[in-house]
Amino acid sequence: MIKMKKIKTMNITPVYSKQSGFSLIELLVAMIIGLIVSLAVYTVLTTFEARKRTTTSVNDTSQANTYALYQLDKKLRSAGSGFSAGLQGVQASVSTFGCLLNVALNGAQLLPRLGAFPGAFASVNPNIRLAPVVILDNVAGAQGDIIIAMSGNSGAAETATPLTGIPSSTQLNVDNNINFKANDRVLAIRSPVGAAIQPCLFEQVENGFVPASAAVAVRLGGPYYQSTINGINLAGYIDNTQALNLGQAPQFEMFAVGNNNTMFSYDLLNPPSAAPESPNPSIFIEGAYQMHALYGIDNDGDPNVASINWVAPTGAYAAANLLTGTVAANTLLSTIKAVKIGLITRTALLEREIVSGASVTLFANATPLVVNLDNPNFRYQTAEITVPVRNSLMLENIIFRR
Amino acid sequence: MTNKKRQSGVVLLVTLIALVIIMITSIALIRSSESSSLIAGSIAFKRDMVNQAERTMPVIRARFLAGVLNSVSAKEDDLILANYSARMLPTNANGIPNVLMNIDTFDMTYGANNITDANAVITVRYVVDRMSFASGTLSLTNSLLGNSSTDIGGDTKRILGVGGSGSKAEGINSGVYRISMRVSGPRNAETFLQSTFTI
Repeated sequence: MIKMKKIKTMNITPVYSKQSGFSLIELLVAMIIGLIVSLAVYTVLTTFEARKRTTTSVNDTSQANTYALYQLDKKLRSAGSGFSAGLQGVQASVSTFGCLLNVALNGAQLLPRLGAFPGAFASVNPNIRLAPVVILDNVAGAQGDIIIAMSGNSGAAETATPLTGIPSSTQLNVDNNINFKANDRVLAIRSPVGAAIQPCLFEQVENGFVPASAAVAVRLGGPYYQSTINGINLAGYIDNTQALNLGQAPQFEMFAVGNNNTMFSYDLLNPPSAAPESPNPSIFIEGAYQMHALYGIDNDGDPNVASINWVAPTGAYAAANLLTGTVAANTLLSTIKAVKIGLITRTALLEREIVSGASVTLFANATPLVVNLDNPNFRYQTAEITVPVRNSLMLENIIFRR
Repeated sequence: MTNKKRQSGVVLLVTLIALVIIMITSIALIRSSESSSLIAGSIAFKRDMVNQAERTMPVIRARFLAGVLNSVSAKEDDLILANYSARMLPTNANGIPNVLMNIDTFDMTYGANNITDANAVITVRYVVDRMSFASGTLSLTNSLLGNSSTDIGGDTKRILGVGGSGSKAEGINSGVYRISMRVSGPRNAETFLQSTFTI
């Protein structure tokens, strides 16, 4: 037994001597190799991470840009729906545009707005007038232009319904009420008097309303119904009044790039609100830098000849000039057939090196506009879209008569 | 020999760990950029579907101007072969005709006129209805009139503006017609569109 143990010990000893063979040189070489490898790995990781952040932020910006333009495209394309065909018997382009909107919600007057609009919209004229698309040029408090777009969505008829008699304070009288549904929003509007466009009242069809054959009444009620708004009484609309059905959810909105590189939308048919579940203004996209827009006008006087000229929203086409509520201003409004929007977005990532130039040029093929960039260490992206304002395309010379 | 193997093992280990880190972040990056292009793609598809729906307009225009719905009498009755209803179809709360909500039952009646594009993976289903409570002749009590050329009722309140009744052209009442479209596109996307016109 003892002999066998000795033999075993003899066998293990040579293995120990083989394992304990690190010399100082070997250790140093190993450390240097390890160091070089670590440095290389660190550099690769750093570069990789930087690229990743750049790619991600550019991706985010592209996404925000695409989303914003998609939404604006939708809103501007159907802008004017429900009121562009004008009043029956009156030249379409001059009868409804420019009417001063009087809107109340739950007894509180929304429009004309008492006081200034919030945030980036503070400089907008509180007397909002009906128009498919209006561009406010370089508004103080906003980064670039503000766009106001209005459209109805009745889906039953985009024509005006003449009233057959004086509306009472609670109902409109029509030939038949086929194109009205419960809770539809309705604009009561009178024919122009001379060159002056008359103010319009924003009302709501009552909740239990059901259209029926040979029925002539459209009863009003609900949160948007108010018989007198801003001192104007519905029952005072004694003649030449028509009703424009704007559907269940008309969109009367303003869009602007405001503080913190954020683009906001403001719902004109709701009061300002800071409630997190229904903010107004609400965030449209983040990462916006500036928004600019041009009108595409067809002013050759011939609706059969398609010729679009691009003009900036200044001079004759300045908002103040388009929204005077006169036949002359409406004639100008009716020449607007398209809108070109240029949106500049900016990444959230501040790069170490300079990655952008000092300025970008928008609308190079129309009316070039040079926009200065505030910090060349950010990456900027520009995108332009041209949107036809479909409801305005055939406005000239349309007269509905009955 | 054993020492050399151990040294290269350490370097290999460090490199492998680094590679694993790069691989994981690469996968994350690819996924983020994939989801980014997925969203951009979906938006592009949605946009395209609105444009594709426009294919319906020339088809309907042709029917109303020169085709099967050209005559006054043709417009007074339903015409299934032209996806036409002479009375207003019942709609859901959003104003979309109920008939468009079920593709299978829709196709049994109107499927022959579906506009399809295999390349764009698009199917446009549409229906045209007249804004009228009943089929038959257009009337002041039953129908929405976009443009009436006859003087009805003599109520001066309704004879407005330029020209008045005296300048009306000879002819008949024109109704208001509603086109409702349902576009089925890629990735099971559905788009509903509506438009009205007077003729």
